[in-house]
Amino acid sequence: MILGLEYAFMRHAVFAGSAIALVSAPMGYFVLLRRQAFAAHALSHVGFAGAAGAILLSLSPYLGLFAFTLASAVGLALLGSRVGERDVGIGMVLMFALGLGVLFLNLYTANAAAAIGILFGSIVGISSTQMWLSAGVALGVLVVLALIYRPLRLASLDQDAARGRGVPVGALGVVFVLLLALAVSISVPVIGALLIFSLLIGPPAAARVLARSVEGGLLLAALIGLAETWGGIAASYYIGYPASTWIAGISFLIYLLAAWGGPRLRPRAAR
Amino acid sequence: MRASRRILALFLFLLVARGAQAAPIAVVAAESTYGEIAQAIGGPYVAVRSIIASPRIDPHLFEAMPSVAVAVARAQVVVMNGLGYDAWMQKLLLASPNPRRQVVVAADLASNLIMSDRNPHVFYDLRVALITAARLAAVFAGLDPAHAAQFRANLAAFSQQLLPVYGQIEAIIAAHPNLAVTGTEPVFGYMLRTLGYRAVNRRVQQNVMNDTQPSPQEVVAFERSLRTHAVGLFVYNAQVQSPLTQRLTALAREAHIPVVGVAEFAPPGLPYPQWQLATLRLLAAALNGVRP
Repeated sequence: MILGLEYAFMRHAVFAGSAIALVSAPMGYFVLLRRQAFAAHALSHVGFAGAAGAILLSLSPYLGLFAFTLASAVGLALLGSRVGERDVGIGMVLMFALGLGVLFLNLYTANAAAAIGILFGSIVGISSTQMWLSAGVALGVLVVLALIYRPLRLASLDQDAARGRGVPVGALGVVFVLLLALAVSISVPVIGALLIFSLLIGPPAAARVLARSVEGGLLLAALIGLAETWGGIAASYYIGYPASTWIAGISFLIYLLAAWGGPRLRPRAAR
Repeated sequence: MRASRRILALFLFLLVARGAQAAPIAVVAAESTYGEIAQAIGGPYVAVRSIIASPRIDPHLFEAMPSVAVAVARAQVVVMNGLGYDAWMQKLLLASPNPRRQVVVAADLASNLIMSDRNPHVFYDLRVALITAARLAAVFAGLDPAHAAQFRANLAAFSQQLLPVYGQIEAIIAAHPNLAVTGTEPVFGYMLRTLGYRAVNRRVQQNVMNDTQPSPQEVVAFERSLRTHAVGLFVYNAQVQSPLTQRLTALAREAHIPVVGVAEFAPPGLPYPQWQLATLRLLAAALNGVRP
């Protein structure tokens, strides 16, 4: 059968990978519109620290991931909205969490292989529980995102205009970062804390260059994300080398092509 | 395209159907140590694939690729270390559920022999190796009853081959009893326990194994134990090295403390008893002051 789908682990990889690609594309698109890439980066690393702590306590790494990312999402949201002070705040949270991560690894008496594995993910080692958890959380995030889509779009494109129309910009920001924390938490064990951008930032960045409207961009980002995930898993299956490497490489290549070809194709592309 | 795929599928089906009668038992070993043991017990009636077999791989940090996951999905028997040493294998087993596959976990079979700090390197305990071999003989006999007598005979031969290893251990204990030992990693811990040696500076060793930094006080105590000859033997992990471990190894050599390098798993093709014997001979040579 194509793509090794006769194997349970490949079905899990394709299904969970697709769910993560589909939730990462729109979330990442808004991350770019709102200039919150650093927050996304920080959340994934905070998630690593949380997972390391949970494994130390013999708990599911997901428990630590969700607890740490959601808690820091609240912290980040309260740190203020101006880009300058926001980045300093994110840096502080990131620094503190990674310090804890090193401490957790240091406290292991047995060995830390499970925690180190979180850094690079394990797309061929997804259990069916993990697959359904990823798909369920992804669906939940997408539903909430759809519900707040219109005000969030306005607040992300033009904060002042949104405020003028009575949109609760601050509350929306908190909800968005919480959703981002959930999306990051399901991505980290699969694609890896260090490689989270290959689905969260790569596809939306390429789509943004090519698309004229936000809606078109969201759709294109989702398609690119799916293509990268399937292409990466297929290349890893047929050729070898880790799937994460392939996905990140394809993501980089598509962005380069879009950045080079996009302005030539569409001189008045929406920015 | 589609037709050719169908022919291929048919071919594969025939291959599998034919294999159900005559093919050797498909065994996947997480590390070559267990692959060697499985090969010794199963002989020509098993086809063993050892996933981690290159001495350049740090087994603690190994990440699996699809080809490995396919091998695990197809395996009839999986043999692994346990205790988180091969956590990646645990993930692959969960990702490819198969109720008929038999999983042999060395550390779980020998749970009463596990050190209190849960040191995962159980393969340096000869009893763990023998218990694993015995379990494999029973599993193989269940899957291939026609050759059960052969598996029993191979197990008896395996346990015979361990006797010279015990002999070497006794010779080392008699010549160099009751040493305090330190090292870069706890990899040799179970053999040191068998030898009756006392492991010191364990915290540093655990932190090196887990790729985190030991605290300065711990490193200071470690270096002092080398300089003051509070330890009589220094063991380093020949497979996993860092600037810190290289510096400590150099310090031990400067202080003229016997230094011996040990590996995380058997070199492919070297049977388990011979591997243990070779390591112990290196140890004896170092303790006797013979520079290799």
